[in-house]
Amino acid sequence: MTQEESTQEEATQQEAFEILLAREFADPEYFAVHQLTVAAYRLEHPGDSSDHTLALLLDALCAAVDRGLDGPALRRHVAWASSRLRDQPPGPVPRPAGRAVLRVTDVARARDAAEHCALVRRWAAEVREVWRPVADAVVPD
Amino acid sequence: MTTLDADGYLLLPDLLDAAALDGVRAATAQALDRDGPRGPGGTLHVDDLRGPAVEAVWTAPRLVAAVERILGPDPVRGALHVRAPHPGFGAQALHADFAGPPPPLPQVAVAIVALVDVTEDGGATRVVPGTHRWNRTAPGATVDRTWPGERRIALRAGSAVVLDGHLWHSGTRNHSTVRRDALQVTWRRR
Repeated sequence: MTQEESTQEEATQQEAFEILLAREFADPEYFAVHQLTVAAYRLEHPGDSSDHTLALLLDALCAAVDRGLDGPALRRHVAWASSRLRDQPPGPVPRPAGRAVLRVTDVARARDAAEHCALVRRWAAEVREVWRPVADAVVPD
Repeated sequence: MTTLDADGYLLLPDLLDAAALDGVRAATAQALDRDGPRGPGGTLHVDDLRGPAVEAVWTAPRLVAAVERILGPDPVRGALHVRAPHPGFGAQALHADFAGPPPPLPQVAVAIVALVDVTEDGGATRVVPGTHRWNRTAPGATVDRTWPGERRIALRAGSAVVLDGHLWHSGTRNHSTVRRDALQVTWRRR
């Protein structure tokens, strides 16, 4: 892939992410998986995110995928994890080489809220697998 | 579709249901009875709103998620008050809620939650999309004067708009026949 193609691909992914956000902010049924959407996308596109942010996103993703936390319980967990990471900074968080098979552009093709939520959960689980070696080192048991 | 990244603001339709709206209106009335309004002029300001109905607004998951999209995780809540221009009042100059040019990362976010239906000429908030990225301060002398590209945000009661605090915005004159009550909440980056 050329640099130009890579830049275009990144723009397409960003545009699809904005579409997902717009749907989630506008409709509570879509919003049900918002925290997963944000964590999955930002871990797939870490850019210049801080180590604190990446560790927090990864912690949230693991709590949602592994322990089934969502809604208020997940929000409470993220607040707790953010406080813990401020007290105990995570150190450098490496980026994994691979990425999920499902892409944000696939999720954006969902036809209704139920399909959207199902696709986001599947995508999030794939991202969690890609980040498993990092999570094993960064996220406390 | 507006986006926080490109436009600097985001609409959250139907954030509050009827019961939640009633709760916030009751808290506003209680604060007014207890403390009276703040400030002179034709715009009522009500501070120190209390109670679970008010807390449910600023902790509403969709609202918090939008604010976190601007400020990152776990932002710090600041001022919370009701701003309510009477008919004929409420015009402001365009401004940002941060002094100086925007830093690399946004530092302030604001939510405005309509407690009554707000039409475009009924004291709606106006914004100039994209200005949260401009490296210049808002122009002066814009009271009752439109600015190129500005948009007025009509809101149904219970709906909200979340602004990047660096976006140029202002109240506009309330040309309706009713007071324009809206709850305003500010956050800053932790």
